[in-house]
Amino acid sequence: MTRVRRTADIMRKAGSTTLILQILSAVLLLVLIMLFVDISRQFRFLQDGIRENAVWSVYQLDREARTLDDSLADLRRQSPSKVLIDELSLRYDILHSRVQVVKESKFSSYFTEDPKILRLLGEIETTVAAIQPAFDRYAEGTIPNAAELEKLDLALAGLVKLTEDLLVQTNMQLSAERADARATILDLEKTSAIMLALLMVSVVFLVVTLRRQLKSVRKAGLELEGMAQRLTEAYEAADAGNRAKSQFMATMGHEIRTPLNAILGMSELLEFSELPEDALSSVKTIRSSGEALLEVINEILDYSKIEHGKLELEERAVDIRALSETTVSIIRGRADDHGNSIVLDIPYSLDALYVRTDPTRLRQVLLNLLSNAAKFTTRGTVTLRLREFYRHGKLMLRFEVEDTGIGIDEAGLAKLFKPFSQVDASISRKYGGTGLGLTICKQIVEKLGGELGMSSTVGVGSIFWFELAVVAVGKDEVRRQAGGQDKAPLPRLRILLVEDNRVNQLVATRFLARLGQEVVVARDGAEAVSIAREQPFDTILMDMQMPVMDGIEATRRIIAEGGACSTTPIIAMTANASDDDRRRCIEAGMAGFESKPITMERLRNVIQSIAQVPATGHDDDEPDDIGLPEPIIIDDVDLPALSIEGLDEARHSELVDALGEDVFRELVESFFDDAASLIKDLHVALANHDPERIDRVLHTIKGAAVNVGLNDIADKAHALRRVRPSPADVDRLSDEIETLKFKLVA
Amino acid sequence: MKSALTFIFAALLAAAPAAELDVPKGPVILTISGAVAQPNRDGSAVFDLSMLEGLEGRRVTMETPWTQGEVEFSGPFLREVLEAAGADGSRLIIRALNGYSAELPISDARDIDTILATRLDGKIMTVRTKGPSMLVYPFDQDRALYNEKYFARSVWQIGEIEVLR
Repeated sequence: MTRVRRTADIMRKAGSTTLILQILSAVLLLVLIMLFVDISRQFRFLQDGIRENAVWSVYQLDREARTLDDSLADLRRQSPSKVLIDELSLRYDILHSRVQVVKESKFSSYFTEDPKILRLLGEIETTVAAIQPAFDRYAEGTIPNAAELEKLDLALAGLVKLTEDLLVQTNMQLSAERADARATILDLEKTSAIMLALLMVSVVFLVVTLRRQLKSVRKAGLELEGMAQRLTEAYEAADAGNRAKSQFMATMGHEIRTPLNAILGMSELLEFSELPEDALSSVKTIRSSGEALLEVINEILDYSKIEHGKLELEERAVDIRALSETTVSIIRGRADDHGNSIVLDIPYSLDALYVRTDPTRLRQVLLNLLSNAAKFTTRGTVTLRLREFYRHGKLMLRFEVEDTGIGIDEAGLAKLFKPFSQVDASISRKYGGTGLGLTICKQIVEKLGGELGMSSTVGVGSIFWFELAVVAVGKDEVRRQAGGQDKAPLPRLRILLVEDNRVNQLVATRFLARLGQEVVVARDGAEAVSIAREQPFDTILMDMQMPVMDGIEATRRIIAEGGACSTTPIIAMTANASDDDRRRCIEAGMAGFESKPITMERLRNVIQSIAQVPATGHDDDEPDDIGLPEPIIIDDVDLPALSIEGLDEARHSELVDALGEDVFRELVESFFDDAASLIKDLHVALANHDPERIDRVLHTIKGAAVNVGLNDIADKAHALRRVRPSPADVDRLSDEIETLKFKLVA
Repeated sequence: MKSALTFIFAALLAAAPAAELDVPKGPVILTISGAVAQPNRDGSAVFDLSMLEGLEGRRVTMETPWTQGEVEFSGPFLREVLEAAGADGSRLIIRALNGYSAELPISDARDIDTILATRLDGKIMTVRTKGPSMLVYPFDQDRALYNEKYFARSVWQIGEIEVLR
């Protein structure tokens, strides 16, 4: 916590430093702009300062005055000639122009504003103007006389003195101006230096602050990283704990259910035996308590599944009316106990009669609501009402469970959907239950995309309802899926199952148990012969290919020995239903055969036909008269799409439906266990060049694979039977099995 | 008859500037010496005012450091004058009547509109008013010329231009 605060502090400090930096940058920018403005101002001043050089002009003026003086001296020394006079005129003209230049040129202020210079300039101008008429006359050709020239010479001497003074004065002023200019430049330089220093200080400060900020940001980053790391660790620890808990619950649930099933089974058996009245009532109590316990455990497991988002839904076409009827009939017994009458209120015609949903979960919710209603109502009415309607163009189904029971008050309503809570403690004492039921119902309905709610009045009753958006499907789809599930109940037969493969054993046993049959398992032909000798059975289901003794041989022996089962119909179970096999079966005295994989449907048909035809003696003359249906051989016909590559989805759902997901998982695992040893066998057989054994092992693999719905592997194994497999082929098959194992089990 | 011939001769001259240079009729105000291909007197090309004013030039109003306010200069382009003289060189030395001189590259004549001004505000420039001719750079066209380097080249009271190879 302190660490978090410290990190926040660092970040905040970094924020304020940034603000300072921003202000600093703005100031810096301003300084830079000022500097630029000053420099450009100075530059413009320099530009304006482009001036004619005054000293040079004045020097020229002085020089021309002296030149004119010299020319005049030349003229006075010699006799005046035209050339000399012209020369004199030119010199005067030049001097005149120089005066104009000095007067009109743009010079610096030191020159134009100095009063002494201005005075000298005025005098020079006056002097030059004064002698102009004389020179104008000479230019027109007048020859000057000596007196005139002497007067001119005098004037020129004065002029030369004046120009010399002007030159000296100008030079002095220029020197002063230069010194001033130098001082100005020095000033500018000083200002620039100060600004530069300011700039440098700013930059240094900027760099230092940036460094500090970077450092603190890095530190904050590291802190955050550490924090994230710790959070991840904490999350992982929590998650691991959670997973362990789920695992524990699943395992415990499974572990508890197994012996509980035994208790329930045994007590049910006990009920059928002749017991004294009080013992029978005890047994009944044991059974009902056991059932209650099973219910509680199932609820807890369901809840834990929901909690961990592992509630998986299937989607099938469901006959809603049939589902409602069976559900109501299940609850009827309990309702009768409380003297309640049950009403099923379904409109005669429903659009949503057949819909696509999860029947198991839907039934679970209905059962829960109905059993609650029945539980909390005495000598009243429980109604299951179904209505359909359209909302936003979508077909909706509304289920209502109404009772005339004790009702729930406002305070109770709030607690209703909370896990492990009941309306009040006395409820749990009086009625029992985990308080999970409604929570589970709500979750399931929500998962199905629906909504669950209730309303209640104390002493009047309650209505629990839920609405689901559904998709209507055709009747045929339901038929096809449902198969013969709702056919007449089967008689309970004693069946000897002869099967060497553990997986196949497990599947067949489970299916038969599901069909309410009593099953004894023999692991091979020899064992079957010895069991059949001692115990009577209604039918024997015989695998064809087995180690020690195969099905044909075992059948012959059982019939030949004349033991308890010599007249029992023996049905062959085989994965290769060729005509040749059929013939061999019939020759051996079998009553019929079923192709593998064994399905619930096939077993039901077999049991039904056996029950209809009383077991008579085998008659070799009319083996085909046995009223068994023609075996339906389904070979890769219309295989549905596979969701996991290589896994037959139809078979998968059939097995899961009959046995549950857990058992299916066990089946698949044991298949892979078996497959490993079978592959080893195959290698041994290959090494020994034993084609018969190779064929048998491949056959077993195929049979076992088909059994759990691994059609791809079955196909590959079957394909290898047709050719003589090489060790490489076997390796490939093994790889394939490993790959699937990884996908399905890992 | 004679004037007609002269006219034809002048027209020929104008059409072919490489032709011989006229002989000045008035007082010579400009002598171009040195590397000139068309001398008309003693190896030099000499011009009187009318010869100079007959060449292509420009009239320009501007301020200079040596005059007050805006003044108007007019006169032939220096390049035209050099062309007429058949000058062939890379540098020029311009000499003033008072002995002042300035050396400049011939590109100052070729690349920019430098004129040999003969008139100031429409009046013929005399020696007293910086005549007879003055080199005027086009400060109006290019302000970058307005500095001491070109001020020093702006020679007035021009007497002679020497063309150096």
